[in-house]
Amino acid sequence: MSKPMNPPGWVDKLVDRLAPPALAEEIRGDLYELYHLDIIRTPQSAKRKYIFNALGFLFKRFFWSSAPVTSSTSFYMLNNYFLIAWRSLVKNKTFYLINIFGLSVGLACALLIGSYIHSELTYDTYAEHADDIYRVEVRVLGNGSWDEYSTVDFGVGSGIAETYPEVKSFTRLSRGFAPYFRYNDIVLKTEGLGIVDSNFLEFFSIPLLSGNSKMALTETNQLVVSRDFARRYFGSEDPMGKVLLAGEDGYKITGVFDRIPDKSHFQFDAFVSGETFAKFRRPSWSNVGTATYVRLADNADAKALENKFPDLVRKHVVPEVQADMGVGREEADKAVNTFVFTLRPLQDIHLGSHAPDELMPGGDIRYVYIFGALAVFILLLACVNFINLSTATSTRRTREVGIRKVMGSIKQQLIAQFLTESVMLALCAMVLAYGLTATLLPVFNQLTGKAITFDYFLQPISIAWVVGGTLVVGILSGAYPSFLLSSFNTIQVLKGSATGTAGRKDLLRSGLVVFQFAVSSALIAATLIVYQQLNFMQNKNLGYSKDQVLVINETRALRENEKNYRDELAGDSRVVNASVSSHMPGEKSFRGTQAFAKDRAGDTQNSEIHIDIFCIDYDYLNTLAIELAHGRNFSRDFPSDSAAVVINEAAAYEFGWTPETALDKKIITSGQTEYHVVGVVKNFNYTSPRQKVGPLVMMLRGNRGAVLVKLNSADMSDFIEHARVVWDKYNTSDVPFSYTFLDDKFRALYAAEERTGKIFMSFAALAVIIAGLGLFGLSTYSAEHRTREIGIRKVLGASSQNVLLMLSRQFMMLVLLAFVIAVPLVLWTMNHWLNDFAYRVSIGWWIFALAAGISCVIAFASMGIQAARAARANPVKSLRN
Amino acid sequence: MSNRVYLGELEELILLMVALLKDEAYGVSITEMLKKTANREITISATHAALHRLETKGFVKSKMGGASTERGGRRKRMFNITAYGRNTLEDLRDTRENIWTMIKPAVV
Repeated sequence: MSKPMNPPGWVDKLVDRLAPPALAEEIRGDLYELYHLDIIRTPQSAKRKYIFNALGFLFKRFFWSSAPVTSSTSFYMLNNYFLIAWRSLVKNKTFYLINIFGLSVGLACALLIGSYIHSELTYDTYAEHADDIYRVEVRVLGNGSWDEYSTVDFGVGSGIAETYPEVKSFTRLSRGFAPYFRYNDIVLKTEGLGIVDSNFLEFFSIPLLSGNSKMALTETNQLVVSRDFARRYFGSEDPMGKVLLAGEDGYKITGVFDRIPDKSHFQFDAFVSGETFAKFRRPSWSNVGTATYVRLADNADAKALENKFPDLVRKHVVPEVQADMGVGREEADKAVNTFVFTLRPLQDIHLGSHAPDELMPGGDIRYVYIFGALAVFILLLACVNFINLSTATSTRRTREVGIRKVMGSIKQQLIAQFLTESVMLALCAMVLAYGLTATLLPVFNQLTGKAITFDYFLQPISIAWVVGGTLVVGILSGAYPSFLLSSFNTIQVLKGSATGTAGRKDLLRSGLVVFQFAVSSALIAATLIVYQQLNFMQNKNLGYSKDQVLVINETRALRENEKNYRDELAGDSRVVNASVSSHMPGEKSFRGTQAFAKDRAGDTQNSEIHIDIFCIDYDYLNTLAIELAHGRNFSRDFPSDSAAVVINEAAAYEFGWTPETALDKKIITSGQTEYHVVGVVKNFNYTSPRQKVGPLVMMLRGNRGAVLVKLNSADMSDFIEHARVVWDKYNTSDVPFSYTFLDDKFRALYAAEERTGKIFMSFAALAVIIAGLGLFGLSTYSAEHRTREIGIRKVLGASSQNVLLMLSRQFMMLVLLAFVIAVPLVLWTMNHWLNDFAYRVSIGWWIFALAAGISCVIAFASMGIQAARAARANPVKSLRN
Repeated sequence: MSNRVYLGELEELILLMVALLKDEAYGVSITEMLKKTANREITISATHAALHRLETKGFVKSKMGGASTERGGRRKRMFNITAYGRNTLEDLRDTRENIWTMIKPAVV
């Protein structure tokens, strides 16, 4: 006979774990005994039979209900809980509806914001090696502060890849090619193409629908386009191999991709092979303009690699600076410390990079925090409502609790009952929240600039999160009321006397009301401040006139007729002045250069600075009504003005002069060109009014690309028609006439602030709704609770007004207290926010007065109805029984 | 019959086994005996399930009984038929016999 083998241990454990304790012993005993019999009869299959027998139990119903004697009582109780919850809901409809509605608003809010945050945090994850990809960036010290650029020079990528073995591959992307492509009769302006290295598609794992991603961008004049782009030109035709014309040059389509994923830090409709421009690009090191990505080996340390970059600066950048600026080796060597290459992880770009030359406006981690905090607050407000209203109604149910206790309920059962109820309500709210989310999603997308679809919320993982979150919310907000209710003293409750915990309960309830109103009035005040700042920026005197200035785009297409076009427009009687220049205020980034003053005394105080350059003509300053502080404008009377510059006050100070002393001084810019200063203009805000005015140099240089026209009448439609006719006269290219208004361009600068304002306003509104609902519920309860007291008061001579005052006073005090708490909070946070602006409003007391007024009105409105009803009620009715 | 007895076919067989085995009726012995006497092979879990149903219906009663080494020292739940159970079985048998007598003509 064979030695008895032991049955598999995991089966024993499984049965032990799952079986009701009363059954485990007999089941395991029987299984074991059978196993022994089987070993004797059929040793080879004994083990299998054992497992089969054991698993059989898992499919039996008795196995899952508890021991036969006590079976299914808990199931019946659960049923009973549902029944009681339903009855209670029907009886107190108002309270429960307020509860469910408030909670679902809070949940919907959390859902939407959750999706926003999730989307913000998962940018640029689509590339296969996303974790190993870094972008090479550069920080330059100039004017005493570090300027960050998201791009580097063309030679950097290849240089780094050749020097360091841990860099496995690199790819480059640049912009600046936005032609009008023609296909037969269709001419469309492209929003700008990405000029990319041939390995770009593979590097970012962008699959091609047709074409070979390895070969598609290897030769000159090759295009890879999105499906959308192809459809615009070719409709349903196959785009592969077709040729698009830009002027005389043909570009062949060698690949089609679906689209760049939404969550990407770059968006392009089409890519053109870098080879096309190879002859114009030299691998220099000291400029910017090429987004350069490197993929490191799996175990490579990016920080360590970053620390090796100064060697490259010494080797490549320093000689270039030396040649460019005509300075000594020693001076040029400073670049090692002022020109720093850095690596930014791919997935950090969207939220982390705020460089002015960023490919697309990115997100902001602060907004992720602000949004997250708001979601938590609003959800908390909704939970607070729940706690408040449940505890308020609890006295109505004291009798039920008393009876249950007498009938043998223990505390745990009561807690379970009330928790079941709150979880049930939370689940109802969740269903409603999904409905709300579906309704609000378009508005939310507009607000945040996202494209989240409802499908996102229907993914299993999202649903799991939501249900889990809802359960937590239900349990958390049900916990206090259930513990409170279950702790009632049975005898006192049945006698009908009030519970002994009234005082404590009121304190808690008041605390929660204070919390709610603190949050909502803080949000109201914050909204007001955001809008005040927005208003301030929009109406700030910018130092130039942006009104009634028409910008005619793409005048480069007129070639040598550009000037004639300007002249003909300027001759019109409706025109005050006109200027040819594509450099205009309100752009995001500008041409810039390093420069220093020539006759400097000591090197230390007059070192090189970074200045922005505007290339303008004689009429520019007049067209935009930019005022001169000293000196003169460029003039046709001075032929030497081609080597002259007009600087702004900020530049004068940066060079170490004053506006007065700056005249006739000389500056030297990159390329060793020398200019003399003929005029100083007053500072005008040529970037976003968010930033301080930087040093600016204006040169008399043909800068084609746009014509600015200042008009003297507000009626522009006639003139625009005229400008179009004149355009057609001079135009020989495919480019159509197009125009914008300078003040529209300017308004676009405030998109971010306007969005912030709207977001705050929406959340403030939500918070106020929830807080208002809560107060409405509480005051209803309070008025009901005190009907008898009110009756007696009225009988003794109190007027309706007295009663109204009495009922509101209690809550108004809380609302005011809440406000006192909110003020320092708002002051601190909003000052923080305002500090980002070079020109900001100060937070006035009237903001708080207004916010206080609004919250008081809302508070009064939400409880006034109930209070008034109670105050007007006939005392006879309330006193009769 | 006013108080109808719900007794499934398998339940009836197992109830018979409990009666047959007297003081030795528990999961394994019932399963084995069923195989031996009625040539019915059922899993141990099915036996347990049927016993539980019989117990809730009141046909059998149980108590925890002796342990043995082949059970790894675990006790067994011993089943006994109740008077109600025995009456029910007898009722069923009587009913069937009555019917059978009606089917087959009596042999003299």
